[in-house]
Order: sequence, then C-alpha cells, then structure tokens
Amino acid sequence: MEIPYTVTARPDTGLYNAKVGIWLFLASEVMLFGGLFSSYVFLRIGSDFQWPFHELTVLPGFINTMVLIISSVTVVSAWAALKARRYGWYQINMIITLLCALAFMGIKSFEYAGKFSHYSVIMHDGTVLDGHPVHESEGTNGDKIAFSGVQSFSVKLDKSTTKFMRHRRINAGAGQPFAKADGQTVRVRTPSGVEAEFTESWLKDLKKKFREIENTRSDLATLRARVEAPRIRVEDMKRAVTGNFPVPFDAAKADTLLAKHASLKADAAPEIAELEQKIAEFGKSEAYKDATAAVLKLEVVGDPLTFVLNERDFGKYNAGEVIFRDDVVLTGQVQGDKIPLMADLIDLRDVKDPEKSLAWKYYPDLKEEFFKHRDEATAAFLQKKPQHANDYEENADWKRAALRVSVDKLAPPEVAKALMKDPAKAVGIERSDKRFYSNFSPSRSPYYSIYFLMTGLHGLHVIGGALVLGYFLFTGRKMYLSNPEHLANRVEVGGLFWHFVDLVWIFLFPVFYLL
Amino acid sequence: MESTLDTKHADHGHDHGHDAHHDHHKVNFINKYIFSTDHKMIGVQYGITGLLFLALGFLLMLVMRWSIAHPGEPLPASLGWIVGLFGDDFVSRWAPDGKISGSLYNMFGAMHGTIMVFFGVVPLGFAAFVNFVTPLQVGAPDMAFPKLNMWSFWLFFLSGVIMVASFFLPTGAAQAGWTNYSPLAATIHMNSDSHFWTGQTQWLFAMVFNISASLLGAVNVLTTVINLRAKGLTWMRLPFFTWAMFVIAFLLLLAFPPLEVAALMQLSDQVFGSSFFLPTGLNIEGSLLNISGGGHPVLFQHLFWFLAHPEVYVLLLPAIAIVAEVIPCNTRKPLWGYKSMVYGVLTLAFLSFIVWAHHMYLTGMGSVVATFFQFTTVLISVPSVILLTCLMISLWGGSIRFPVPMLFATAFLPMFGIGGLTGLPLAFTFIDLYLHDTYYVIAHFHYIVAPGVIFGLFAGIYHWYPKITGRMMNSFLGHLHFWPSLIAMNVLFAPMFIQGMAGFHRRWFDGGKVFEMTSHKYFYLNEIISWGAWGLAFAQLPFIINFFWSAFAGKKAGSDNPWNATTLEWNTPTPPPHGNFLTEQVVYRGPYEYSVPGADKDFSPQWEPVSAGEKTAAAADLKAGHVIH
Repeated sequence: MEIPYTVTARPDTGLYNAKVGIWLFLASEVMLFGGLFSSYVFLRIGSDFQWPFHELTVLPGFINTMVLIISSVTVVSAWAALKARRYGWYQINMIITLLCALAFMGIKSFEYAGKFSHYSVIMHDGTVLDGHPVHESEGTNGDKIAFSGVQSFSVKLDKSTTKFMRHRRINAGAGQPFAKADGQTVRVRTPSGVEAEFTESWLKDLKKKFREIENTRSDLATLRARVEAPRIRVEDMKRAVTGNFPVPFDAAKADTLLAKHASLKADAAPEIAELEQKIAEFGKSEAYKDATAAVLKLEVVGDPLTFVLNERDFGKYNAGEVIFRDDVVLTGQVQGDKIPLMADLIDLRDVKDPEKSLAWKYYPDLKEEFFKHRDEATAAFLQKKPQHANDYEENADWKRAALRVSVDKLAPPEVAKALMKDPAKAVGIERSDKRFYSNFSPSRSPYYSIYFLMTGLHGLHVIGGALVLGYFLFTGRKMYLSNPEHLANRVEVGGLFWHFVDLVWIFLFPVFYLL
Repeated sequence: MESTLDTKHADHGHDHGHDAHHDHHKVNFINKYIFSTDHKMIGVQYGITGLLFLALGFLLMLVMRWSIAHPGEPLPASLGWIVGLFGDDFVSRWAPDGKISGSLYNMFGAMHGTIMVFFGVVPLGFAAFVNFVTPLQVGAPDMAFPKLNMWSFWLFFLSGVIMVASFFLPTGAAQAGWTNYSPLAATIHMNSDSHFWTGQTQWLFAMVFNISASLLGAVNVLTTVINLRAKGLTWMRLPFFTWAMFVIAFLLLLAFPPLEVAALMQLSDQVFGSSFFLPTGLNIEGSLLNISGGGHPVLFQHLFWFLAHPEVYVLLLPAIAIVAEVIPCNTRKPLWGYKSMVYGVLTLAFLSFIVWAHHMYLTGMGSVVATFFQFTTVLISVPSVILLTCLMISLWGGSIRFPVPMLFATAFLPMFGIGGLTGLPLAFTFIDLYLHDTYYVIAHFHYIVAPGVIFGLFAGIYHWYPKITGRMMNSFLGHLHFWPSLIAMNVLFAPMFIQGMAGFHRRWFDGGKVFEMTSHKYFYLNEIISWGAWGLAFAQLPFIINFFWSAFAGKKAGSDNPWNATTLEWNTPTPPPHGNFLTEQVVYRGPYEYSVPGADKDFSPQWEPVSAGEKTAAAADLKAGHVIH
C-alpha cells in the first residue's frame, strides 16, 4: 500500500499531503497563540493593579528578534539549496539555523535566570519593594523562617508523609549555624511507647494498617447503614406527619419496611458481630494499636529538632505551631521570621497615600529624596504633556515616572550600592506587613504569569522546531541520495513551521518589551 | 526512499501466495492490533475505548442517581460494586458508611461529564467513525499520515489513563464540574501536600494530552479529505457523512487550542502559583490565599466556552452525519436537500464560533454583549433546523425498510428535535437567568446527546458493523436494545424539564432534600427519573451481548454491500484489507442515487458509470419538462 501525494503535488489542489497538513496545523497554532494574545489583552484591560510596562530590558529581546530573523532567512536558503541540489550549502544554512536556535534559547535562559533571583515584597497598603533577599542570616535563609525546639509533632495517618523532614536543619558548628540534615533520621516514641526510626517506610506501614482498620470500619458502617435504612425511613414517615408539608402515615408501608429491617438485621447479625470482633482485636494488637486513631502524636527522642521553612512549604504557622499542607503539625518556637531584603526599587503606584507608605517604615532616609524625585518627574512630565495638567495623577506614564523609583536614584552612589548589595544594610520586613512575597516567576503577577507562559510556550516551539530541523540535517543524507525532492519537501514544511515560530516572536517582542 | 520501496516490492513477491492484497511488510500481532497504523484498526480501537468510557461515565451516573433519589441512604449492593471498582481504600475514604458523600458526588459528577464528552462521545462519534469510514468513503488507501494517526490514538489513550488514574490519588479525581471553573477548580485541592498530584491538576494534564490528540487527528482527517479523494469525487459528490466529518475536524482544529490555553493557564495557577484566574483578595476558609491575585475568573469561562460551544456541534454532527447515511439507504430514495445540508453544516460551523457567551449570561456581561449573543444564538437554530428538516423530508414518500440502524436513525429525529427546541428559550437572557444551572438545562442537552447523539451512534454501529466484521448484528437483540432504550431515555429525561422549571439545581447531591420547603412538590420525580436510569442500564445488556456475540456467531454479511448502499466504503472486500481497495477507485456520480429512473436496480453506486437506461430515462424526463435533482 502506498499513500498518494506524499512527494508530488496533487494536481487539483497543487499541494502535497504534508504541506496541506502543516498549513492546517499552523491554523490551529494561530488559534493557540491567538487565545494567548487575547488573554493578554483581557488581563491587561481588566487588571486591578498597575500593569507593568517597560520593565523588561529591551536589548536581549531585540537581539533575539534579530537572531530569529536571521534563522528564518537561512532556513529558506537551506530549502532553496536542496531544490538546487546543493547539499553542502544546505548543511551550512541548516547549521546556522540551529546555532541561531541555540543562541535564542541561551539568551532566553539568561533572561529567565535574572528574574528568578529577583524578589518582590507586596505590602498590605500596596507598597512594592523589589530587591534581593539575604541568603544566610540569623537562622533564616532568605525568605525562609526558622522553627526550632521541636520536641513533638503529629501526623495524620490518611494524609501525611515524611516530606517535611527534608526541611530539617542541624547545627553545623560556629559560623555555620545551619546545615541540611540529609540522611540523618530521627527517633520517635509513639503514644503506646514504641520507639522507632521515623522513616518513610515505617510511616507507610502504619498508614497501611490504618487503612486496613478504616476499611473494616467502613464495611461495618455500610452494613449497619443498610440494615438501618428501612427503619430510618419509617422514622422519617412518622416525622413527615407533622412537618411543613404533612404526608399521611402509611401504616402498611411502615410495617413492610419494619419487617424488612428485622429480616436484614437478622441476616446481617453474624457478619456485624464478626466485623466488630475484628475491630476490637485491632485495638488490642500491639502492631495495630498506634494505627487506630487518625492523628498520631510522636515524641522526639533526643535533642529537639530545627527546621528552616519556606512559606510555600506549609499551610499556616503561629508562634508555637507549624501546620503543613499534609497535616503534619510541628510544636516548637518560631525564630526570626522577618524577610531580610536589600531593596533596589520602591514602587508606590498602588498606594493610596504615598506619604504614609509602609516603605518609609523600612527606608525612612529615602523618603525625602523620593518625593523630591516625584516632583521633578511631575514637572518634566507636564512640560512634555501639558494637556494632562489636571489629570496627570491618573496617568499611567506619570505614575511610572514619578512613583516607581530605583534606589540608586534616591541616595548617593556609595550609599545606594550598600543598600542594594550589602547584607548588613538589609532591612527585616515583618511578615505581618507583607501581603505577598515572590520572585519574578509566574506567581509574581498576572503580567509575569502570561510572560512566562507565552515565552515559555514559544521557547518549547523553538526547541521542537530545532529538534525536527536537526533531525533533517543529521539524518537527511540517506533520503537526499534516494529522493532529494522528498527531503526538500520536509525541509519546506519544517521551514514553514520555523517561520511561524519567528512570526510569533515578532508579536511577542513588542507586546512584552515595548508596549 | 524509492530504493527501499523497491526492496519491499521484492519481498512482496515472495509472500504473494498467502496474503494477496495485504501490505508489503509482515504484520505481527502487536503491529496489527495494538500499534497499528491502519485507519480501520485505529477506528475500531477508538470505538472500543470510547464505548468503554461511555460505560464508565454511565456507571458513575447511576451512583449519582441513587444519591439523588435516596439521599442519605447507603448504596445497595447492586450499585455499591460501582464504587467498589475503585478499590476498598477508595470506598472507605469517600463513602465510609456506604453513603455517597458530597465530595464523592461532585467527583463523579465532574468525571461523568468529562468522560462522556471528551472520552466517550467524541472518540466514538468522531474519531472512531471518521477513522473507519471516511478514508473508505473518499476512496483512499489510508489516512494521509498513518503514523500520526497511531500517535494520536495513543496520546488519547494516555490521556484517558491519566483521567481514570486520578480517581486513585489521595485527593480523588477532579470535583469542580466538567466545566472546571476557576477559582473553585484552582483552589479545591489547594490544601493538598503536592500541587502536582491532585485530581484537578491531573485533569488538566489529561485534557492537554486529549486536546493534542484531537488536533493531530483533525489535521489528518482534513488532509485526507482535501488531498486523497478518489478520481471523480468532487466536493459536491462527497457523501454528507464525509462533509460533516470534514466540518467537525475544522471545529476541533480551531476551537480546541483556546481550551488548551485555558488548561495551561490553570495548570500554571496550580503548579506554579500564578493568578491567571484568581482575583485579588481571594479568601478560603477564612484566610487570605498566598497568591498575588489580579487575575480573572471570567477569562477562564470565555476560553472554555469558546471551545465548548463548537464542541456541542462536535458531539452532535457525527450523529447527523450517520443518520444522513442511514436514512437514504433505508428509504431507497436520495437524501432530500443535499446541497442545503452541506451549506447548512458550513454555516452552523461558522456560527458556532460566535455564540459561546450564551453560556455566561449570569456573569453580568452587559446588555449590549448579551444581545449580540442572543442574536447569534437564535440565528444558529436556522441551519440546525435546515439539517433536521432535510432529514425528515427525506423520509417522505419512501418505501421505508426498518432494520435496526434505521430504527435508531428515525428515533434520533424527534429526540433531537425535543432537545433542540427546548434549547431555544435558553438563548434569551431573561429566561436563561431563571433556568441557568437547573435540571431544565440538563434535560435540554441530555435530550440532544443521549437519545439524540447516542442513538445516532448506535445507528452507525449497527449500520457499519457488517463492513467491520463481515457479520450482521442480531436483529432480535437489536429490537430488544432499541425499544426499552427509547422508553427509558424518555422516562429519564422528560421529568427533568418539570423539575428544572420548578427550580431544581443541577448540582444538588441530595436531589433537593435540604430545600424541601420549595422542592417537595416535585421531589417524587427524582425516584421516577432514577427508575429510568436503571431501566436504561438493563436495556444496554442486549447490545453488549449482541456486540461481542455477533462478531463471532452473527449471520454472515453475504455480500460486500449488504444494505445495497451507494457510497464507496461498500465497494471494498469485507472486512477491508490493509490498503482498502483492490483497484483504484473512480467516482461517476453523486452519493445518494437511489431509485434512479431507468436504472436496473434501486441503487446506483458511486463507482458505477451512468448506464444507458439511466441516460435514456433522464433524456425522456428532460423532454417531459421535469427537473432532475
């Protein structure tokens, strides 16, 4: 069997199969990126916060645009070379295309890395402080909190795991207050007095026993509920006589139901007795004793434990307890839960009254200079756009120029450098002041969410396209020798896809970097 | 390539003896039945997987119906086994005393919808039938990209495995309805230890795979129809079935990507903590969520319904496509209004892209936008009515024979009619504000997809079964399947209109018991509807027996064209071999030339040239002043 028109074009459509296919596929890609661009517009128009603009450095984006344009030219040359049966020229052009793809991804990962190490504190009044957290200080690690003196903790047998133990730290000696406790297990004592190493397999075993007991209980409860159902219905019927919507009592039906109840009860009695017996035995058995209750409280044998935790790792905490999302509860004390931040930018665009911003609680020395800068920026703005004399406070451009100021504009160079880089100058931001704390990852704001989603998907397309083109380059010789037209067709189809990926970037670049 | 092909030809020469029209390479079990690239085997794979998913979705619904009809009562053993399918741990976790918890009901509700729509009806109605029938109808040896075809099936299969496996996670499967609206969907499993291994996240993963599979499949179908049509098979000679499938493939191709976008965004919300669909100040259980906020829940609805409205037509059109084949074949006269149907289905497809927000009247979109969508929604009923009317008029004046496929096809017409007409009031905001999310909506779309679409699909299975297996399905069992199903479907869905107008909400897990003050009058209908559901379950048993038994012991089809039909799929050997046709196909005429005057039999297949008798009759007719279709 042979599929027609894989290499030659069908006369009436003028196309070979793969070309029809790729155009259709690109139509669906247009809908994919169309959906994303529409979402961008929707999110931007409907944003209830200051939508970031002109925040990305333009140069790397511009270089990437050029890189992709060059690669689009070379991929066409590669196809033309195949059509002219010049295999060497094809190889050279294809290699340049792939190098461009590599360069693009390199620049992209450089841009991503910068964002992941840069953080932002958003406070309750809308104040935003961007900067870098200090990585090791006073028992906290960057944005993390230390929790120590843990002498007991509890686990829930239908949910908890031992994963929280990976946050455990040990005292590693002077100058190095905390180190990871990899590989060191903890001994615990259960309520029934059993001592054991607290390991995944030990906990799993207990959980399995708990499940076994629960399943037996469930069987018993189901059996009882089925036996009781007719009797409960009779109770309901009795109650319905005087309810809001009285239903006359049907005595005959009630008798049938009660008779059914009696017979079900008699039938199920031996099985119920058996299950009750089984559950009673679980309670007495040494091996199953600790697994009878859902919550298991464990005492730490030996020194109290210390944990260093990221807020994302757990659900809630207070001065004496940390509750993880898998319902592990640690009992101990919080130590130093401030965020040690070296701010490099103050953004008060979302603050109602910038004079009273929480920023000045941490950087009182910069306040005066900030408002001086604001007034200068306002004057400059009004000179450029006098028509906004009355409504400049609503203007997004003015807000950006006047209320979002980098620290090096607010202090002499030496001081500013120290504020931004010297851990000793870091301020400790109280957790009660912050509403949200994040690096410049998708969680930072919907702008960064869609930036990462769109550029990430585009990047995956670049990788996918490069893999396909690379396959044509490295395995193409055999096909070139047997059927050069087929290889040219393949490269044409790959090239069409490559152009599409390029085109998407042509839209992405202005949307994210320029607008 | 040429040289490798040559060697294959040489090999072929050697095994010519035992495998005359099979493919050149040797076919072992795995390549033939599992990783097959043959469109017919892939069609059968889709069909069987789709039927299994339909059965699963149906079983979940039975459990839900018990909870509605008998709130607070433990599941009887006759239904308890369905929950038991998921294992003892699942039972003791979600139904510890044998009673259906609200979470379990939500889980089954969300999965019933998801499985039925994306894993049951679309794979069976579109993927299975398009794969088996369309390449045959266009006279092609296979799909344009056979390997891609195999990949899309296995991608789909993987998505199904993920979807079913999510039941076994500690969080259970997704619980936020098949529409999966954020913020509920994004926060329901927020307290889970891992944000990756949750039912909600895995639902999204499964959907991303499912969508990708659909996209690949759609590209394949479109390319096949565009580029692999047989000689003489012009666009207006395409059977309506293939036209409809062509249109569906376009809907999938263009409507699914926005849902993929929505799924990726929600995935990002769950795994990376972003806030695409999460508004500022979102509070759960009294505490502020640790997220940036600033996103839009309504954006999800727009993206979702931009897909999901065209998806409605993806569900519906395969049934219309099948019925449009079965009716002319059994009335022995041409399909009435073939061209109007083709233009109708194209208009329908176009309009289906601009009606999506009629699912969202309750979001407060403003009267201008709402008016636009009311207008387009009412407009789309025009092509739908054209399709249905053409099918009805096709019955007129025919000497109708009633084999089992025709029973289902004729029952489709009024059932779909009820479903469609009861949808009209919902197009208007002032009615929809009242009926939104009630059982009225449930009844409306279930009339379309259950006794409508599923009857259409059953008609297709009975109709093409002899081509697939070489044996007919048993007619007695077919009747035993059809009549009880027809009655049970109506007992099941008709009372829901009454309940809906009485204000019964679609997501009440206790059937409205807590709202007894207002619901008591129509509470008794819950039990009647559930009787319909049990009846429907029993009515499927003859089908299941028939489906397997007939493949081995059914009456032999006797000929390659047992229904005396006219389209190209009946011109292959039975069952069709790899490569399908023995000779290159040439098409001489339109798809539905039944009872042509002057012809020597009452059907004139597309592959037969116009005979001398037909020519004379046509000339005489023309002379008499009659216009010939």
